[in-house]
Amino acid sequence: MYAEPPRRADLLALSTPWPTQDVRMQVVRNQAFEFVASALRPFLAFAGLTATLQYSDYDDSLSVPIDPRADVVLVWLDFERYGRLAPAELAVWLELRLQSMRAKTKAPILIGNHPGSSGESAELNRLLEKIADRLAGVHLADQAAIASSLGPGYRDDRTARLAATSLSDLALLHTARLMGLSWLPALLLPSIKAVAVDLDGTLYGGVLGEDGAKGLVASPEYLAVQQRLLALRENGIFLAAVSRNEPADVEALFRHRSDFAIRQDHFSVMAVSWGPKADAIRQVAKELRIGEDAILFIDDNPGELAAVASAIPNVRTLHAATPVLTGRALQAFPGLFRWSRSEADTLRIRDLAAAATREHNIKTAQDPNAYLQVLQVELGIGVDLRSQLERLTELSQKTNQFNTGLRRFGAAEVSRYIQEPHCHALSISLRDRLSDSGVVAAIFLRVDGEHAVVDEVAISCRALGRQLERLMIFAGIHRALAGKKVSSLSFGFTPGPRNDPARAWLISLDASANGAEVVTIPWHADEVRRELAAAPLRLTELGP
Amino acid sequence: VSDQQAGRQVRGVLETVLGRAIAPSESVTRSTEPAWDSLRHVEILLAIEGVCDIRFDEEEMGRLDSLEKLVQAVERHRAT
Repeated sequence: MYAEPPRRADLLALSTPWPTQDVRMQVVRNQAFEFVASALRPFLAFAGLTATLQYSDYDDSLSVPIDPRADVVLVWLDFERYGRLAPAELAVWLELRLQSMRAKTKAPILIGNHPGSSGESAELNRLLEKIADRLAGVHLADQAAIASSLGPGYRDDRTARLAATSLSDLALLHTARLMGLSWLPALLLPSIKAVAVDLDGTLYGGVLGEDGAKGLVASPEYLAVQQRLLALRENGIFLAAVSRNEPADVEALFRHRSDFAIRQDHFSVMAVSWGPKADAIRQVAKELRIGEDAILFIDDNPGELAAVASAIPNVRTLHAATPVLTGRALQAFPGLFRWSRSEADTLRIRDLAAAATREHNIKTAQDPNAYLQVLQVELGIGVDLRSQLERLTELSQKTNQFNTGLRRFGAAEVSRYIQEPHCHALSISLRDRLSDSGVVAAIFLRVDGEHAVVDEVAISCRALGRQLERLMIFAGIHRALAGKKVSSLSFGFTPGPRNDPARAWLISLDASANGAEVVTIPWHADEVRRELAAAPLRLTELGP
Repeated sequence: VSDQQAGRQVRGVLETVLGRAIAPSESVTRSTEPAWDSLRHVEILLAIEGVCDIRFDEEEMGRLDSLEKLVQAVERHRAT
C-alpha cells in the first residue's frame, strides 16, 4: 500500500478478506478515470470501503444527470480541453455547473484541480479554491500537488493518445492512493481522533529498558515519524503514548533526549505500565472521551497489534514495520486526512488539559451555580453563520454521545438549514476561565407556525460533564426563536449505540419520553429568558 | 534477468488483469480473450512496465496483443 514507487500489478493483485462498506461514486468527467479506479479498489478496501462507480460519458459540457443516490460525486476533468477559456471564464462556468450539481445532490462533490504549473493553471486553482469555499460540501482533489511532486513524470503522451488520459501510470497510482486513503475516507468515514503510539522500536530505535535513554536511536527516519506525529497533533489529533515500560524511565527518557522532536507534553495521555496494551487503549479512550474506534494504534510488534485488535475489534491498527513505512503510512492512513484545519482542531488539544481541573471542581462543588460562577462560563450563540458551516457539519457527523438525531448531516444539508428562511443552524461556543473550547454545539431546527422541530442537537464530548447542556441548548433555541410566536418544541431522537447522554437529557425534559422518537415540550420564551438571566453565565453573540 | 522470468512476470500480470489462471504453456491472445478489451489492454501494458521496469514505445503498444508478443517485447527492451 505504501510502496515507493507504487506498482500497479502489486495493487491489482490484492484482495480483500474483510467486510467493507459499499458506497456509490458518480464520476462526471471528460477524461478516463478507469485507470485510477482499478488501483483505487485496494486502497479503498484498506479504508473499509468498496465503491460502485457510475461513469458519465466523456462530456466537456458536464451536462450530466446527477444521481441523487450517489454517496459522492467526482468531477474529473482534463482542463487542457478548455484551453480557449481564460481561467476566470472557466471558473465562472465551472461554478455554475457545480451549483447545478449541488442543487441535485446532498452528497459531497470532489473536483480535481489543474495539475499544470503555468500561471494560468495556478490562477484557475486559486479560483477553484474560492469556489470550494463558497459551495457547501465541494472539495478539491489536489492534482497540482501530485504533479508538483512528480514533475515531468506526471504526464505521459502515450497514455494521452492510447487511454484518454494524459496522466502517467505513476500519477494515476498516486491519485488512487490519495483518493482511497485520504480524500474519500475524509468524506465518507468517521475520522481518527487519536494516535496511540508505542515507544520502543516505533518512536525510536532500541529498547529503553535494555539500552537506556542514551542508547536509543533517533535516526532521521525515526525523527521523521516524530515530526509527522506532531503535524497530526497540530491538526487536532490527540497523541497518546502506549508502552510497556517503567513510567519513571519514560519520564527520564523524554527529559534526557532533547534531540527528539517529540516531548512528553505533546502526549495528551501517557499510558505506560506493564499491563496489557488493550487496557492502555481503553484508558486512552476514557481519558480523551472518545470511542475506541476513533483510535489508531501503532506498534512495531505484530503480536501486540493482534492482541489489541482481538480485545478491541474496532480499534484501527498500523504495523510500524520500519520507520520509513510508518512515516509514509502516517501521511496517508484512512481517517487522518483533514480538508482544512479548523479552529476547533487547534483548541481541542489545549481544552483537554482543563477538563481534569473542571472535573475536580464539579465533584467538590456543593452548589452547581457556585461551580459555574467560579468557572466564569461564557456561551457564544450564532444563528445561521455561514462561517461555521464546516464546524457544524463536523459536529453532526462526528458527535456520538450527545447527539439526539444522529442525522449525520453533510455540508449541503447544513447549508440548507443556514439558508432557508424557516430553518436555523445554531452554533454555540463555550469558554471558561480554564480554556476556550470554541464551537462545541450544533442545533438544527425548523419553525412551522407556532411549533418548532429540533431535528438534531449535537454537543461535543469536550463540553459534556459541565452541567451546561440545558443552558446551552435553551440559550441557542431562545435566540433563534426570538420574535417568533412559538409555543411548543419537539426534539427528534434516534437511538444509537452511544447516544445515551442525549436520551437522558431528553428524559430530563419529559420523564415519560423514555424510548420515544419525538419528545415534545411546551415552549415559554419568557420563562426560558428568566432561567437564562438567573444562570451564572455570560451570553454573547457569536460573530460571523 | 532470464527470459523465463519475463514469461512468468507477463503471465502473472495477465492472470491478475484478466482474472483467470493461465497455464505456463497456454497461448493467450487478445482476439480470443473476451476480457481483454481496450481498457484492460492499457492496464496490462502499464502493469507490465511497472513489474518489468521497462517502457514500451508508443508505436508498439497497440500491436502487443498476445502473451507471446508481450514477452518478446519485454525481452527486447531488457536487452537494449
